[in-house]
Amino acid sequence: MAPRVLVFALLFVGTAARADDLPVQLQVNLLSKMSTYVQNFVPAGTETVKVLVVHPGPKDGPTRGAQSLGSTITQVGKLGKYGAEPKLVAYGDAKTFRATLAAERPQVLYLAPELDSTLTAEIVEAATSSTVLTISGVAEHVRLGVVLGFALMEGRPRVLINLKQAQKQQIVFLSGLVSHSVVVDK
Amino acid sequence: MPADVVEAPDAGFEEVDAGVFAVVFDPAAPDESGLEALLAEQVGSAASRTAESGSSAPGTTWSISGTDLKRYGIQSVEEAIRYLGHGMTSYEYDQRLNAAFGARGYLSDNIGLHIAILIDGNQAGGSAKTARGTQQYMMPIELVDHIEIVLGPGSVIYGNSAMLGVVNIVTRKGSSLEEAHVVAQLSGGTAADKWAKDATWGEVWGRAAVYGGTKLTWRGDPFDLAVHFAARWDRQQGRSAWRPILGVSPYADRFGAFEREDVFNRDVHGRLFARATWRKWTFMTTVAIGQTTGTGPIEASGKSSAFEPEYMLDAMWADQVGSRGDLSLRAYMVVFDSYATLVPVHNDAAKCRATVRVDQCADTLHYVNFRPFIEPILTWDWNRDGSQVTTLGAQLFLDGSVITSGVVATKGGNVDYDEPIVAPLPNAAAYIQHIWRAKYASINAGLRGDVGFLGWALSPRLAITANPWTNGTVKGVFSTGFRNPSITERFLEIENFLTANPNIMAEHVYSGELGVAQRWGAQNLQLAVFAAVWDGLITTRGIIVNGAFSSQFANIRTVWSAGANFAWQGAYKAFEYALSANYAPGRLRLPADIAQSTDQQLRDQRIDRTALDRYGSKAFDSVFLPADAMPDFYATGHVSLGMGEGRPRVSVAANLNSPRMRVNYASEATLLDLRNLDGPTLPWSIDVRAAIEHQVAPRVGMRITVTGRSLGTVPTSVRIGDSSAPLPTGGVGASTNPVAPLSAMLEANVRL
Repeated sequence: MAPRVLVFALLFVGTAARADDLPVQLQVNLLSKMSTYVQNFVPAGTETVKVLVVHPGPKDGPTRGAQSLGSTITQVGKLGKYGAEPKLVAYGDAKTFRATLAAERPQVLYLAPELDSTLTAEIVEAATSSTVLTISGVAEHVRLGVVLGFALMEGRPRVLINLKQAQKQQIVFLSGLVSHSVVVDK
Repeated sequence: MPADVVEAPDAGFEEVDAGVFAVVFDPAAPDESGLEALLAEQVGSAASRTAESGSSAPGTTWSISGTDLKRYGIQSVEEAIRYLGHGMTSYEYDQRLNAAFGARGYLSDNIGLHIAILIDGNQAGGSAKTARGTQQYMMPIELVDHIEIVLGPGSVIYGNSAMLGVVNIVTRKGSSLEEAHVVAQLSGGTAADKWAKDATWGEVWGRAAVYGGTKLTWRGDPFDLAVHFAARWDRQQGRSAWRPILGVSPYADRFGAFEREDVFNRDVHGRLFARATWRKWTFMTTVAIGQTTGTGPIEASGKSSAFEPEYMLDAMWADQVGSRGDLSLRAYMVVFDSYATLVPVHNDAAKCRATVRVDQCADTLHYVNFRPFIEPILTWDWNRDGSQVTTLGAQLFLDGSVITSGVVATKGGNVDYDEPIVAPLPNAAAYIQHIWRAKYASINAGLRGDVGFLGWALSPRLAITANPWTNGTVKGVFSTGFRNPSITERFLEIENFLTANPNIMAEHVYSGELGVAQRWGAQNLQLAVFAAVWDGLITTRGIIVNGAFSSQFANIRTVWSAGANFAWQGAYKAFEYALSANYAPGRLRLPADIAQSTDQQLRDQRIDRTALDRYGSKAFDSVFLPADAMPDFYATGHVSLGMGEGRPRVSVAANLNSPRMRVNYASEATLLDLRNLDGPTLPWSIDVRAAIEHQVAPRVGMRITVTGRSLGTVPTSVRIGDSSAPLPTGGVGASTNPVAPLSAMLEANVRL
């Protein structure tokens, strides 16, 4: 039987609602499990997955959300069967960011919760031409085109997938992940 | 998702076939069990005011989903705990005002004063009558996303009343509702007391709710609004009060020794609840109005009526402070306004003539309770990565009352009011909490200080949680809780009946627990062993004032408890289930030489010598008696089965209690008399609810629930109003509950 999933037709509250976010530790642990469901989630050359944690880049350094993600990924150490190496990257403009992607060749772009919808849309656009897996702990970001995300519903975590965006980027999931997820209609 | 067609929480989702895109690939590689285990994690913020998974929370936590609340036809926080909770047991006296909660050896039947019940973190009268969280008509059931339960004392964050646990009702956002919904419910139940003179109506109630939400753009930013309105009508009849006739032996003439009076109530309540978020602001408001009429609703007193409006407004602003801090400022206010008239059973004509110059009169009471709160909270993330987080919080609030009593002529007209008593009691509290999170373990340490007109308290907590193996958790928690005496317990004076106690102090509980939890796929198991000491519990004692006997509230009870809480929550194929099994015996601790006290000394301590002889046991240089109404063992469980798309869903929930003592048994000579066939003990009791739901049209769902209660599920009284009366036919089997033994509810819900 073909898996039947849900289309998430609604908006969640904006990025300011940090209390609605899943705890970062849980996000990273979920990503670690979910990555094993992504067919083309393979590091280039090494056994280590490169994770770029993208933040809006205030003058005084990475945002708290980005720092928390970076240190938690380091702490967890692995995404699936591969080692994980986080790197915090400030988003300046689309051109610079494309150059960063070309230079770093990451497998994962983890969007910091402080990114607003404009910057998120630009990052999604920059990532669309590659198979890099975009992920965010802000449900609204998934509606904007981030491939994987998380939401908190009825006191439990839910995985969100933007299938249309995944299709655009030719990211293929195993059916098991889709059956555990909520599909977001962009 | 056939279950969700009936008022589904995920309104706004629609089903699509994604099979075209999903590709089956190497099934051996993914860790499906590990993913399921993480998705089964409960996430809450009630334990420490920060979002955290249940495995890292500083205490035993439990979550009840909004889906389950609707699935089982839950009407109140009390029902949610009774059927779906963990670690607690509960009952309601009369489906009206009074609910009782028990955990860790102590059962409080004191209108929920020993439990903190919050709505979205709002503590406005969370546990007192003004909270209404325990009352069916005050909770916006359909708007509840989930209920978080933190078992054990939580005064380190929530101060007064957080002794048994903390219950936080989390409401849904308007954006998750969008469409408007209508719910109509009608329930009928058998008469509670087969000896009632008039059992024609039994117990009937009806309820209607309208709710919905939206997300707009206002001044360039999203504005999220959720609104809920509910109205409920109750008619409860078929209960009776048995009033002993002085001088007639109940053992010689069981029927003739009592005046039998029908007890009924007719209530109408309405409540509007709204919640909005915009930019950095969150607003919440409620307006509730209730009109009640009855005979004997307050422990079988005379006929009474009350008009009770209630208003609440809550505004919170939250923003980041620098690169490390979050600051929130919250201000809220609740006003509970009650106009009550009480017609005494025996009219005092002399008093009536002296006050309102007629022979028939009633007492009247206007009671206004107002509670303004200001609550700043600063959270500081030292390393900007969540590894070292300090929270500083404060509360300034008034627990204010204006009480105006008087006498009113029964036929209206003349009223004689006393001078109003104005008591704006100030309170202040501050707390600090630090969370240190490392790779394999977390430490949560906190301390709160409360000072107020009625007392002070220090409430420390220390919790260590560790995840030493995959999906496994080990916890050690020491926590404390307190309750300040109420204004009544401290100040109330009634000549020749009650004497104020200037030395009364706060009650305390000290609790230690060790817990272990394991998740296997969708199965979530947790086990905690605990020990708790309830110290200085307040009850009345006898006292001689100017040569006359009187009563006085005082800190004279200590209860010890030790036991275990086990829970299993999970899903298998189309089944969803949970089981909570708890061993939590409570024992009243008395001095080792209590038996050497004189009969009068025992009476002053509200202890009957027969209770000591029959139920007392010696240990630890003390004498122990079973605690009132607290079962040694209790369990809740529920299972739900979805029969497939387009087919009904069937759900069953139950609450089981082991034999327990009636409330106040230790001081009731009549109840302890061997000739009283009913006796002070109650047998095993069970309360079962079965529900079936089905989508009958694309936007219409139906639900039927049937509830059965065995005898003894409500241990407060044999008959309403008299806990010591022997029954006409004797024996536990002839006892009745003050709530319907069998009831059924029909619901229709429509998405507009």
